[in-house]
Amino acid sequence: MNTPLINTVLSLLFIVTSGLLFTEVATPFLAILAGLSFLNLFLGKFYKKLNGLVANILAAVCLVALFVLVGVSDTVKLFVSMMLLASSFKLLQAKTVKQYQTVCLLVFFNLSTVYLFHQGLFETLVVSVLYIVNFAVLGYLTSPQSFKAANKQSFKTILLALPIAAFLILFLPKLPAFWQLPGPKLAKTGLSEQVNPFSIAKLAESDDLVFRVEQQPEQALQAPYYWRSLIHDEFNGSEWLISDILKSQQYNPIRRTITQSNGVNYQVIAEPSSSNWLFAVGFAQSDNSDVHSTYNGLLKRKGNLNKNIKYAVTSSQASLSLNEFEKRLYTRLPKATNPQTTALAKELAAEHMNAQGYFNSLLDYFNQQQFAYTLTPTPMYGDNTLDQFVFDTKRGFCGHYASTAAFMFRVAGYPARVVSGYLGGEQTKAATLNIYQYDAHAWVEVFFDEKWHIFDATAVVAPERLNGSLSQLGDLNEIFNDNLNFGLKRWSHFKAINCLRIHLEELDYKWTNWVLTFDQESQQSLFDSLFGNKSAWLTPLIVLGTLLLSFTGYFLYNKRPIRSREPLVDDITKLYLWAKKQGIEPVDTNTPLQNIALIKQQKPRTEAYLSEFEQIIIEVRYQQQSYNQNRKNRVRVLLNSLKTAK
Amino acid sequence: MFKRPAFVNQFRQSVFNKLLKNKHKTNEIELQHKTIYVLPSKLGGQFLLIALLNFVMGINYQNNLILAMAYLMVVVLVFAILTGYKNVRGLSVKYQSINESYAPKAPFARFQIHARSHCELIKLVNDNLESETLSLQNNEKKTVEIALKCSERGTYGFDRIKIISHFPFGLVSVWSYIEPTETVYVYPQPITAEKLDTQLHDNDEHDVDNAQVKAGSDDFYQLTPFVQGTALNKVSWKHYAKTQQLLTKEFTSDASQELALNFNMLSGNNEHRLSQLCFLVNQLTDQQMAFSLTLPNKHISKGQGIYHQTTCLQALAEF
Repeated sequence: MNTPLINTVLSLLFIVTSGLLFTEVATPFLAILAGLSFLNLFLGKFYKKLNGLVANILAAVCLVALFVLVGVSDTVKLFVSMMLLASSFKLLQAKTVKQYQTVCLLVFFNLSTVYLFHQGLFETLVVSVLYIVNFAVLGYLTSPQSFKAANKQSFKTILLALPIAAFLILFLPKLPAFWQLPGPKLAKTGLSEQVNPFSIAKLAESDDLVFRVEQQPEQALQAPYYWRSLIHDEFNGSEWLISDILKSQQYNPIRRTITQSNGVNYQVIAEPSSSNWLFAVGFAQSDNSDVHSTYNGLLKRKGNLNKNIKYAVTSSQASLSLNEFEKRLYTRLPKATNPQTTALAKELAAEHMNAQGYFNSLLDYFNQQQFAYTLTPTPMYGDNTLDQFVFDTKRGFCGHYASTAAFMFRVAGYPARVVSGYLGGEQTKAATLNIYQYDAHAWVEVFFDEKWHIFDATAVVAPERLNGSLSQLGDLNEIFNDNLNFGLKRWSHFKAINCLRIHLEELDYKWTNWVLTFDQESQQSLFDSLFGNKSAWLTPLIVLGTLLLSFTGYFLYNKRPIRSREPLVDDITKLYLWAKKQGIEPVDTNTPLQNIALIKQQKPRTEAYLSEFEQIIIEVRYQQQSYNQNRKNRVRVLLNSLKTAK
Repeated sequence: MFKRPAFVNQFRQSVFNKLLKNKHKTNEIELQHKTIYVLPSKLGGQFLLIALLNFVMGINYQNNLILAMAYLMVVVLVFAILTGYKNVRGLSVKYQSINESYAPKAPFARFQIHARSHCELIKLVNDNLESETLSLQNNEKKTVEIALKCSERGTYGFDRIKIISHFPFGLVSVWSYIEPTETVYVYPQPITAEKLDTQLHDNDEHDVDNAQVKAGSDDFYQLTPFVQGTALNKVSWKHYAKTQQLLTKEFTSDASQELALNFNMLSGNNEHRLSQLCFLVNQLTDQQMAFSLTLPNKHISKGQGIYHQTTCLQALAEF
């Protein structure tokens, strides 16, 4: 057993696995994990292992570090980190084949936990490579073959097993979760329950995909697309929050059922997220079993599984009425904040008696008073931040405008609320939209004429923002790009890179759509389309049949004769076969050279060819020269010419 | 450490005997469908457990990728079983010989392994004793040795030797047994016999003087057929040159030194006596002397040479 090599490979496996969890687990703890692996690399070089006492002290220290750095609040992360730590220590102490085998087994589990956090194509590719290497290590541990050969064998086995596993995913009935486990919290940025004007500006730095929308060609949504996620109904003087009343309302029965005919139907594929708000336009409803349609027409994930989810939505903009309680809820304001803005609102309200008029006058106000749209607003501190924004800085992001407008509506006595979600989206294919984190947006919904109306000051301050993604906004493009984290998107003004980005995006779309969101419902519809109403008995039959067939196939494939590894054996066998056909019986106990001499004797006209063959045998077998491609070709030619020798 | 009570082992043994139906009681076995047993190894079991854990995790998080990994692991295990079975099929194991061993050393059995097609990582296992691990090419023959478990003097039935391979990945155990029908002899530990002269002689006719006189005598006595182990200087080469027949010249000194080893003439407990006899048998054979052996339950008449030695030693082991 080549211990240093196994040690090195397993250490590298751990380093890469830790690297994959880089964004999820506390960095200092990952540094400790990586440190342990490097220690292992270092010790492995000298055939040494940690002595017991040192190892125990180190383990205790690391365990304390685990609890301090990772914390106990997120049990999934704690569990994953603990597994990684335990495996690293196991490797530190491993000496015998059995111990190394245990480490390999643990790696199989550790690698799977990576998928709890990442399911992208890139991560899947990396994890798959690690799987192959791990299998290779497992094979290499008990076999005298080279590590390269072990990798080859492992790759071959996995390649053959993969279609069967994929088939099982498709056709084995999907079971519901046995029990609810806490979902891992993802480190991804996202909307938050409080709309603090600054927090949305932070989202503009992220180009993570949030969700995709597939529209049906005959039922396209009307731009601009306001994807609603959260409703904030309570203003505390500086921030907009979700009140407890609204939270409890979520569990009220749905206000009314939208029929497919009066709404627009489309599909949303949401990326994994720790928060359970989903996205839809207008008043929405979904029949998906994993999606909860709330009282206010918002959609929520059921449970806390942060996986990709694909759901069908029906949206509509029908009229409705607010009861007295709701009217009061949506006009509540804290006392005596932002006096200047309050005065301004009252002044405007006095001028315009009806809601539509007030609505328009607010828009005009934002339009005429030199307000500017910016991703880098001037920081504001203290009380009355709305006053500072309206009368001093006049530079803000959507959150500033929405906060101010909702406040002003409420001052005038109109029910209003701040809605946060996403605006727009990037059109990728004819009917597909991609919505990224930087599309995050906040706007106001104000109630009059039996309807909630969207009031978005951004529409007048930066009208281009309405009909496209932030990325396509001309003026802000440069500052947007500067703001963005490093990513392909940032370089999208280079044609080749943009082309690559679009292709990768397309691939990722297919991956998400076909692989990650394949669930019980998609499986059922697959069965229905394939077998119709016979699926109940046809499915198990086909599963069993296919498995049986593939395993038999594998067995037969395995049974084929393996070519000998000794050079020239096959060629000599070929020569003997030819000789037998000519009526010359080679003697088993003779050396090949003796037999060739025998053939030469009986078939003198082949002498020239056979002598050359003899020469090659001597060179390869006795003089230890390599059996290279040149010689191989020459031998093939020689053997072929024997048949035509006159 | 916890030790299994004896009746568990006995029960295990009887179940094994019943299941195996004497299929393996032969000196040469070719591994075929009926004689190959396949199960996941201990590592394979743990591997399956990890696959199950992955499966539960995949189900609970509704994560297709984790599920795929769980299925992949199970499929690889099934592949491993098929590959492992194919690996040993057609392998033949042949009992060759066993070396002479004196207690407390256990004897070694020699087997020849012949692979019709390429065979990886095969080894013989006798409980906790293992042979080296071999890989064989197409049509290759290799000899492998394995220690047997018997180290005390006596005769034993052959241990049931396991022919096992964990190929590939160490995930499966593919095994068979061979239980040669030979008897295993473990000879007594040779212990130097004191007072050799007086106790050797069985009858009082040969007194010490007599023996000394006759030992010096070189008179030709008779020609006897050559027995392997006899010194070559006693071969009558003249006869061989004439008749191509190997004959040994016996001299009067040899003949008169009619040594009779007798169990009853020695002191000590049974084992001690047997050990002394063992020593004497070996020494006398080395000195090319003829002797007879008398045990309470057996008498072996006078003889010499390696074959005679073996008979005597086996009798001692059997006692």
